[in-house]
Order: sequence, then structure tokens, then C-alpha cells
Amino acid sequence: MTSMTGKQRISAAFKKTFSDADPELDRVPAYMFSGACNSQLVGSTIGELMQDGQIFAKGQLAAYERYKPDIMLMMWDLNVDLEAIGNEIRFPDDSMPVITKEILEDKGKLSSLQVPDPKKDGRLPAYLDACIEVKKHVTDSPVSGVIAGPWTIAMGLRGAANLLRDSIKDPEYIHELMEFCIQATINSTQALSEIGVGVGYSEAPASMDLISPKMYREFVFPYHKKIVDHFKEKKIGVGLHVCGNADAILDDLVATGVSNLSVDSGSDLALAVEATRGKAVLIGNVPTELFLAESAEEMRQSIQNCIHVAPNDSGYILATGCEVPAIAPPKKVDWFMDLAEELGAYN
Amino acid sequence: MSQEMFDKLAQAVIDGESEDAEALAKQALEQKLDPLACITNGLTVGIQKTGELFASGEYYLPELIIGADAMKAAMQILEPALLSGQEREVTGTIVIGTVEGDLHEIGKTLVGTMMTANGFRVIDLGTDIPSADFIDAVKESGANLVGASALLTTTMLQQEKLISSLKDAGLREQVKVMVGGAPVTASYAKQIGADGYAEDAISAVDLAMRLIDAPA
Ligand code: B1M
Repeated sequence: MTSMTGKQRISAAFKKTFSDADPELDRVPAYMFSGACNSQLVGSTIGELMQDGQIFAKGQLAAYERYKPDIMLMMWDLNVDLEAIGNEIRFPDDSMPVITKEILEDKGKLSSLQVPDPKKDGRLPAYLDACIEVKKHVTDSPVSGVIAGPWTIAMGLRGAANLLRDSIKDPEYIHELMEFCIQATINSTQALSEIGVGVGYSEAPASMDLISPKMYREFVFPYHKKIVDHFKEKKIGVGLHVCGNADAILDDLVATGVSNLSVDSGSDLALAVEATRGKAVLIGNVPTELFLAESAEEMRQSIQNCIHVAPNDSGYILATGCEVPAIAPPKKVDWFMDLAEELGAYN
Repeated sequence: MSQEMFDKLAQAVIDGESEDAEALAKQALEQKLDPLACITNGLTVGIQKTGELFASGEYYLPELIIGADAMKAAMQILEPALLSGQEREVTGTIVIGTVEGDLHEIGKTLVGTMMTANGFRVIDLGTDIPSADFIDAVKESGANLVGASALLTTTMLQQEKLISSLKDAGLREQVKVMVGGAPVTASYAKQIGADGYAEDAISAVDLAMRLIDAPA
């Protein structure tokens, strides 16, 4: 079989999940979440790449050229919406952006917040432009945007410990806050889908590392479902990524109706296979720390294991559990796609 | 009567009721109860129980956080009332924070809470803390432990910087330095000259006890 394009492989994965068709694949579809680490490919600092959408786009294009992932994921940082809403952010040269002021430290300010306009506010327009630019050049693979999910936005605006306090002391407030946050996620998702980019939102803090399954069901699930339903009406499928250990809520995550679910290395891929079969394309979950390992041996074992556990009867895409660390050497990112190629070949 | 008050204080911590805890502390002082006994037999018992409920999976992070809040609220009333010469017996004093450039808050907070539950005085500086702020806090508090949390591979390097800044400030002999956070390993801790590494909050307490030779 001649080599397929990223678009063909990804489309085959979706067909496997959502139809009875069993299209042929030359190898397992594969991609990594990379953004900050591509600063190394274009000779910029991390801080420069995070503040300048054009440098970011250049980094993503350089990454596409070098690694040839089957999905070109536009991973910038998760503060873009937060900054547009009113958080203050600092951009260190050699590390990821940091929040220096949470706008809802004083919770009363919620009523005065504006849902950001993706075409005007903060770095959102620069993000959209970077997506347009990359999509122009990347024609073989789908280009996909990364949007901060509502729980991630809520936590960023209010502060992590404060939001956890509210969950007991003022649950009504969280519901109000989440109603606001889904508007931000919906607007960004809408803007991205208008430029023809795939859409998915990321929820770093929605797993059991931080909250109980009960909290997920009470404070997060209803809003995830609202987002998905909103776009289902427009026939747009959205994806979801959750960092950390989400084993106890896998069925809930799938029940939101997302078309693809990406799980981190903290989650058990075998459980995720069961939860997603026939309902959502499964994506995951090679540990990101392996991009800093001495040798490729552990990554080889991890990829082998993912491919072994992943279903043949439902769509699966091999990917990193989360973002490749910012200082991972490009040589080690090469390992990932090389190993996918070598170990993922279907005969 | 005093036992009844101790139990109420403990329960306010277990329930995470800051306002109750504060009101009870005031009431205790009005009733001329010994503030030190209120701390030791009331608040500390409560936070220990909270820590146990967390360790056994019954409590999640939110309950632990509000339990620590309630303890803090009552301490603010009771500590200033300690008689002169009467000092709360602390296992040790730790200055803890997440290093510069890193905003991951929860692991550090959790370690701080478990240390509090085990009798340490905890000075929690927060997140994105430059080395200089750690140093100021050590000088001010006379701490004998410093705890630095880092969750990113890029910010782990700040733990090393903190250790050399402590040396430059002439404080390295005064404090034991412990490091932790998801990407940090025991061998990394050793390599940068830290005194110890802990994988989670419970082992962080054990480590701290060992480092300062506290009786377990
Ligand atoms: C002093 O002595 C000690 C001793 C023990 C110590 C210690 C100190 N400190 C911790 N410990 C230990 O004891 C604690 C209790 O058992 C433990 O603490 P932990 O903090 O590990 O555990 C906590 C109780 C719960 N765990 C957590 O709170 C972290 C969970 C995960 C999912 C996580 C979260 C929630 C978040 N994140 Co972040 N996040 C991830 C995490 C994934 C993971 N599996 O760790 C991690 C850490 N994040 C990562 C990344 C990349 C990022 N995050 C970011 C942001 C965020 C959120 C804001 C969304 C949120 C943090 C909310 C907050 N304010 O705290 C960004 C960084 C921003 C910055 N400058 O810091 C961003 C860069 C994402 C982006 N592209 O924008 C990854 C780091 C990769 C790397 N090696 O560099 C990551 C491992 C996810 C992954 N799988 O790749 C132990 O480590």
C-alpha cells in the first residue's frame, strides 16, 4: 500500500468509530502536542514565541516540515482566553507564560467581565492568524486548534485553590462562572471553525488529580455537554483533552458527546478503549516525560503498548498524553514519529 | 468543659468552617481557656483527622483546603494570645513555595497542609516565587526547612538556582532544602544539592521529620 496522507489516516480513524466501514490504514495515525518546544526550531525564546503569533506559526510550520504529524495541532498556551478576559500574564524568556494576577481573586468582579471577542481581544486575533497561516501551508494533514475549556478558564480566572473552596462554600457561584466561561470557549471554537480549523478544547484541571468525580458531574459535565450540543446543532464535532487521571469519569467524558477524546498518560488506555468504542475517536497517551529520557527505549515500549491496547475495531490515534515539554530536544521528538512509523505499520 | 471546646474546634476544622472556628477561638479566650491547649488538643487534632480522611480517599482536595483555612482562622486568634514564654511547640518551620515561572499551586498547598497537620509551622509563599523571596522569608522566620515545588521541566532549574542563592546569602547551613513536583526525581534532587526529595505530601512530611531529626 502506498503511503497515506495525514488527512486520509485521520479520516479513516473517524470512519472506524462512526460507521461500519473498516478502511485500510498503512499505519497508526499519529501526532504530538507541540508548541513551545518548536521555539528551538526557529531560534526564538519561548517568551518571543508566546507573544508573537507569526513566530508561533513559523515554529508550527517548522515542526510540520520536520516531524510530519498526521494532525497539525496549534498548541500555543492555555492563557490566551484568560488574558483576553483580564488576567495579567508574564512571559519569561525561557519558560511558559505565568499568570501574575487572577481577575476574579475578588469574586464580585464576575458581573463586570466581558466575553472576549476572538477577532479583537488579547492574543486571540494573533492565534487565529497563526492558524490561517499554518493552514495555508499544511495541506496534507488536518490543522486543529486548541481552546481552553471552561473549567480551565474558570480556574485561571479565580485561582485554583479559590475555585476548589467555592465548590463547597459557594457552588452557585461556580455555576454562574461556568455559564460565563462556556461563552468564551464557544466563541473561540466558533471563530476557529469559521476558518476551517478543527476544534477541540483542553481541560487540564478536570481530572481526579484535582477534583472528585462527583465534582466533575456537578460543575463541569453540564457545561461540557452544552458546548458540544451547541456545535452539534451546527454539525461541528468537537474534541476534548483531559490531563491527568480521568479513569473515573471516562464514561462521563464520552457522554458529553465529543467526537474525539484525548487522554493523558495518567489515564488507563485500556479503560478509555472500552469507554470510547463506537462513540468517540480515542487519542493518547504516551507520557511526555519520555521526551526527556536518555534513550528512546522507554518511548518504544510505551508506543508499543499503546498500539497493543488500542482497538482495531474503533478509531484510535497515537499521540502524546499532553504537551511535549518546552525544552525537549527536537531529536527526541523525532523518535516519536519515527517509532510510530516503525511500530505502527499495519500489514 | 474545656474538652467540649477542644472537640468543637476540631470539628470546625474537619468541617472546614472558618467562621465557626474563629468564633469558637474567641469564645475559648473569653472563657479563659489555655490557648495552647486549644491549639494542641483542638485544632491540631482536627487537621490531623482531616489529613487522615484525605489519605483514605474520603476527602478530596477542596475539603482539605477549607480545613486548613479553618485552622488558620482560629490560629490567628489563638496565637497572639499565647502567654509570654509559652510557645506553641512546633516540629519545625518550613518556608514553602512554587518556584519562579511556575503557577502550579495545588501540590505545594497540599504539602503545606499536611506539614501543618503534623505540627510544622508553615509559611506558604504561594506560586511563581523568585529565590529572593524565599530568602527573605527564611531570614524573617528563622525557618529550618525550605520546600520548593516545580511542576514543569523548564522551572525545575529554578530549584537549583534557589539552592545556590541560599548559599550566596549564607543561609544554606541554616536550612534543609526539600524539593518535589511531578517532573522532579530523587536523582535530580541529589544532583542539584538538595537535602531531599519527596514524591507526595505524606512522604514529604516523613522526609521533613527525618531531615530535622524530629521524633516521628
Ligand atoms: C517541597 O517538597 C515537596 C515535596 C513534594 C511535592 C512538592 C514539594 N510539590 C509537589 N509535591 C508532590 O506532592 C504533591 C501531593 O502528592 C504532588 O503534587 P502535584 O502537583 O504533582 O499533584 C497535585 C496534588 C495535583 N496535580 C496538579 O495540580 C497538576 C495536575 C496537572 C494536570 C496540571 C494542571 C492542573 C494545570 N496546569 Co499544567 N498541569 C500538569 C499536571 C499533570 C500531572 N499529571 O501532574 C502538568 C504539570 N502541566 C504541564 C504543562 C505543560 C502546563 N501546565 C500549565 C497550566 C496548568 C493549569 C493552570 C491549567 C493547571 C494548574 C492549576 C493551578 N493553578 O495549580 C501550563 C504552565 C503554566 C506555568 N507557567 O506554570 C502548561 C505549560 C500548559 C500550557 N501549555 O499552557 C505538564 C508539565 C510537563 C513538563 N514536564 O514540563 C504536566 C505534567 C501535564 C502533562 N501531562 O504534560 C507531588 O508532586
